[in-house]
Amino acid sequence: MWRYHSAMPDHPPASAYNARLTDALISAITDGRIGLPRFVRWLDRVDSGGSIEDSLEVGLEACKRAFGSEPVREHRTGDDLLHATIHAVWATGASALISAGPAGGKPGAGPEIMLVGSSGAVYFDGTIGSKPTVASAGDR
Amino acid sequence: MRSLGVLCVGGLQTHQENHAAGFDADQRSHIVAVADEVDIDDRRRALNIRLAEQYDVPYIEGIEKALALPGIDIVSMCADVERRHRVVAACAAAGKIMYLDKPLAANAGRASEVLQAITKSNVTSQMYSFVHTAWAKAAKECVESGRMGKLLSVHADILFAKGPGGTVTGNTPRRETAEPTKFTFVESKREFFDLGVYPIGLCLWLADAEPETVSAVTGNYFFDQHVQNDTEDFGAVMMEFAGGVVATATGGRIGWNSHLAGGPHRITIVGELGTERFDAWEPRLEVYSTAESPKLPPPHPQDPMGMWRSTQQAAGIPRKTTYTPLADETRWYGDDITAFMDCLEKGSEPVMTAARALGPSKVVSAAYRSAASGYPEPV
Repeated sequence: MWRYHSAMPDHPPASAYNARLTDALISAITDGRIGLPRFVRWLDRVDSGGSIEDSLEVGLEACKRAFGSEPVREHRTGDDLLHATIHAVWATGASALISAGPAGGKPGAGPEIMLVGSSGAVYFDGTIGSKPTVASAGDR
Repeated sequence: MRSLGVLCVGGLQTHQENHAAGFDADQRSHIVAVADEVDIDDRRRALNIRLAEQYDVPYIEGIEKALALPGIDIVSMCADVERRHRVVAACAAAGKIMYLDKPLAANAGRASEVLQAITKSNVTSQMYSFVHTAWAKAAKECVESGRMGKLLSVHADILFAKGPGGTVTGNTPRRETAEPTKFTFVESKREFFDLGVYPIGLCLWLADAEPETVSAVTGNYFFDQHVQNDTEDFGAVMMEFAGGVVATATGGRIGWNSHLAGGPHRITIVGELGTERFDAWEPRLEVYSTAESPKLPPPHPQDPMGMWRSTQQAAGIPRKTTYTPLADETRWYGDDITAFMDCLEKGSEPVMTAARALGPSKVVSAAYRSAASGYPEPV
């Protein structure tokens, strides 16, 4: 059974990392290189001590920024302890699958993201073996 | 094992291009003839005849007439999906071994008819799927090994980076039909119906269960051709299983420029002990150089989405060069047919039998209902 631990993970605060990540995603959209944002797959790997609920909230907020509004349809599954997924649809027809589950032996991996636009796509596979080096939301 | 005779139903510009090549390459099988129903349009008939000419075998008009030929053991089924159920039923009733294109039929009801016919005749069957790819088998091994602990969720994406994307002009929601009836067009096809069956099939196989409820959406995100034909180019579905397991799947066509290889082909297994990812393009080399990058040529008029091998070659669609995966994705069709022939040789049951293939059809039908209603729907 996977359990949460109280020890702090050995990577920067999740909020700073996720804020920087979300900013980067939004920049990719506003740069105009992928056309209209249409679908987001957000698949987070939550460290022991982390919160599934918080993780979903970060993903949903990122999608709201990407699509520019609140979703008109949300359906949620899973449990609130180990894993959960939100299926969300926006008025424009854009949609997202936002999931969170245990990171297990890969702490600090963070979310994997696929953002598909009408004429391009953005892929983010997380830190892939390295450790995140963004120490605060303002770091460049 | 003697070489088994294969009757190919359907011809060029169907998956029969790949299936026939697989049976022709396997020493345990040989192609006897190509056939189809009598009452088909001239374009389909001409494409069927061209496949028969390619393998130097006769083209037979009429399924009953073709089934009466001597030396036919296997039927490789690629009849248009709108009429596939009745052609499968006729072939199964004749006692032929069935190698089936995906999906089984146009909807869950007709897929059930296909399964009933195959069950009644007690013939061996296999539907083409991705379960024999190296990355899918690695995901299955992960689940069965128990190293992730209890399975919590499965996420699968099979998106094809093919076709000239970015032509859609609107930013409006798609109005889906609860029970689609028309799937086959030259310019486009229903991509969630046709491609969604891959990731959904993987999810059900990995979870070893069928879901109870689905929430889904379909979209016209990328291609104007799909808008014009009222066919979706994308779909996403969330599936809830008894016991709390959740699966999600995306299937669609996202455009040639939206991925450095064939498109996102990925499975993520989430267990109580962690998360593992299995990607068709990993491990890979990534090659960057001053050499000119391949570019998508003007679309083939008979296949603007780049669906078929023959028209891809005719249009000169180049192979993308940045990703060089260590696995050979060009072997996927051949590997599936090799696995099928292995089962026939050993007398073992294929993995993706018609019985197992019914599940994805049930999910796709429920997903269309959910996309149309805007609410979760029972499977």
